[in-house]
Amino acid sequence: MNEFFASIYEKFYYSEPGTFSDCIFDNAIYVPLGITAFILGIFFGMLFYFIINRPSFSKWYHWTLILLICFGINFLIGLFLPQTKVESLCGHFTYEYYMLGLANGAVATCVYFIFMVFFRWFSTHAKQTPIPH
Amino acid sequence: MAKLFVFGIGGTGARVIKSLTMLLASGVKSNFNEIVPIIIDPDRAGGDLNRTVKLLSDYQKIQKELTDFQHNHFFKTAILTLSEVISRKGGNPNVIDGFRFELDGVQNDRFKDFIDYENLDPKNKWLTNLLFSDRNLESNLEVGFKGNPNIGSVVLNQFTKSKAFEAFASNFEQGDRIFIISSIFGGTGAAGFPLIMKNIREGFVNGQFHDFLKNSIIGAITVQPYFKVSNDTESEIDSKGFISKTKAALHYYNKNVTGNSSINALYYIGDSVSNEYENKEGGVDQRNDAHFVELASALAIIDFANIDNGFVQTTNGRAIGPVYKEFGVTSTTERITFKDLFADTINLVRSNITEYFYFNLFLKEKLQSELNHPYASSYTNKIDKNFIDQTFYKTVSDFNKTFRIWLGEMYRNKVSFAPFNIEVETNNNKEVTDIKINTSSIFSLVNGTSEKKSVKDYVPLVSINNYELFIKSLNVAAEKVGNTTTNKRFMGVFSKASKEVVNQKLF
Repeated sequence: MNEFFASIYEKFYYSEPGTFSDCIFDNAIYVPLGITAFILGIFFGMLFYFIINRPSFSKWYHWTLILLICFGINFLIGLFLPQTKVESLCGHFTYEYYMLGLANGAVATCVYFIFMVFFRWFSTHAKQTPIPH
Repeated sequence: MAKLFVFGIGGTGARVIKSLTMLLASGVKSNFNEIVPIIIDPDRAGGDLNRTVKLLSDYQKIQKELTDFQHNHFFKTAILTLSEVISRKGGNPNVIDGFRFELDGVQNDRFKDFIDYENLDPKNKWLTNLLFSDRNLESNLEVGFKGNPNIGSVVLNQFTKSKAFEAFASNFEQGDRIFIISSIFGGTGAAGFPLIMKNIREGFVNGQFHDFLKNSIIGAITVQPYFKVSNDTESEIDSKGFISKTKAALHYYNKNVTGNSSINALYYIGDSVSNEYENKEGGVDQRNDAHFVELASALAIIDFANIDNGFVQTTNGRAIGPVYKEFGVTSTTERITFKDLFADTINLVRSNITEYFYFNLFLKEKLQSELNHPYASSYTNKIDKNFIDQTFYKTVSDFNKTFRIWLGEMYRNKVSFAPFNIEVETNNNKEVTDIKINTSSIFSLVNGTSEKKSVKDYVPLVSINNYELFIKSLNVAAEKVGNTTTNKRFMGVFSKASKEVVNQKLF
């Protein structure tokens, strides 16, 4: 599973060999990040299409707002979650955490996107969001 | 399929048929799936008549698109012309054109020309002079009988001898029923009602005997004075004579309609005459505001159609156990709301009229700006700008506008029928052109009924109100209706959604 998530995350960001990204991989940090991003991506999709699911909150900009929130939360998770473990095992990094945060946000965004394709068909009020049929 | 033939005689006949059409459009049901209105009015340019004919024609265009469509409850009953009934049985449909029976020989004719007065022998001339005044004889028939039943009874004889009446008799089948609408205080209706009754009960039409016709179930409403006309010395119509004419006609009916058990169900209606219309003898200017009495009269037709066969029977041309009914409201008031109606009437009309009102409201106020929701655009057949430009939508839109004007006219009339909190819009001629409503809280528009609220409705961000609730119901309804032709989908979705919002928020 670590390799699976690593292959996704490292498409978005891979640091110099033997440095930050390898530390994340060697310590299997991609797994909790990936699972969290996956769950949150689905959660925000469900939140928009099934929980909020109302006519007055079904425009593309409402959908984008939820996407940005999903991205933001996952960015913060990617930024802060690995810091303690990485600092203690692999030394000090700064810029790399931001890049991992962005990669984490991008992964959750992809999940949100992919599930959008399925969820929207079953939504009563947001079938047309963000792209009309 | 049994049919209900509805004869609307004179201006009141046409106006009651208009109210009936509104009720049927809103989904009021009867035991008859097919209604055949036949309007008899010599005043071919009559404003009320032509408005009704246009309305009936629009109703037909809409209804024909929705035949056998189970998801819709608006426009459920088919309205047929007599020609269509004749065509179905392979007869000659040209005996009547549309919904109106055209009387021959009344166009640009004086009554004395119609009866060929100049060629009568002296004895018949004397008799004619005894029965008709000089003013009667000089009367122009093109605009009707102007409150003179003595003229009407002569001219309308033409109908009972016409090919149209013959075709009606030949196409009258077992199980069909007849309803006759007439006013008792005017000319055309007062003369036409007993005349048609008599001819039906004889069973002979142009020498042919029709047993089903003779023993048919016949209902009628005789509308007593419910308005007066302004005083005009130039006009032949004078409302001071309405009451005496009513009394005379009732005396005649006592002998020749009820007295001889000709009729199975006779409905009486009238009102304290507090409203005054402009005195127009006929023609395009005779466009009286719709009145609650006409709506109540239309309800009599529904009531008659729903009477079980066991309660109305005819043997040898005579009604067994005829019924006589009057319409009433629970309280004397100048403004009637749903709360002032009796339970049976409420059950019959309240939900239907309210649902159609909200359907109408959404189309007028919101549809064009809310076409991006799933109910409109997530299906193969979309409700989009293109659909709105097409004939079907335009017909519905025209019909709906007439419905709003009808509500507006009843609202401002005396007695006022005011089920909804509306404002009336008028033009320079003071004619109702539309209605306005306060759109900030659409579920508080039913007078005397508060909006139903649950705990959820008080929670910000969770509560769904006003038009958003309507759109929500439209989206849900669209899923139930599924994919079908756009016209059917449109009506099905709005019919279901209107019912849902009314159930959820009002009744």
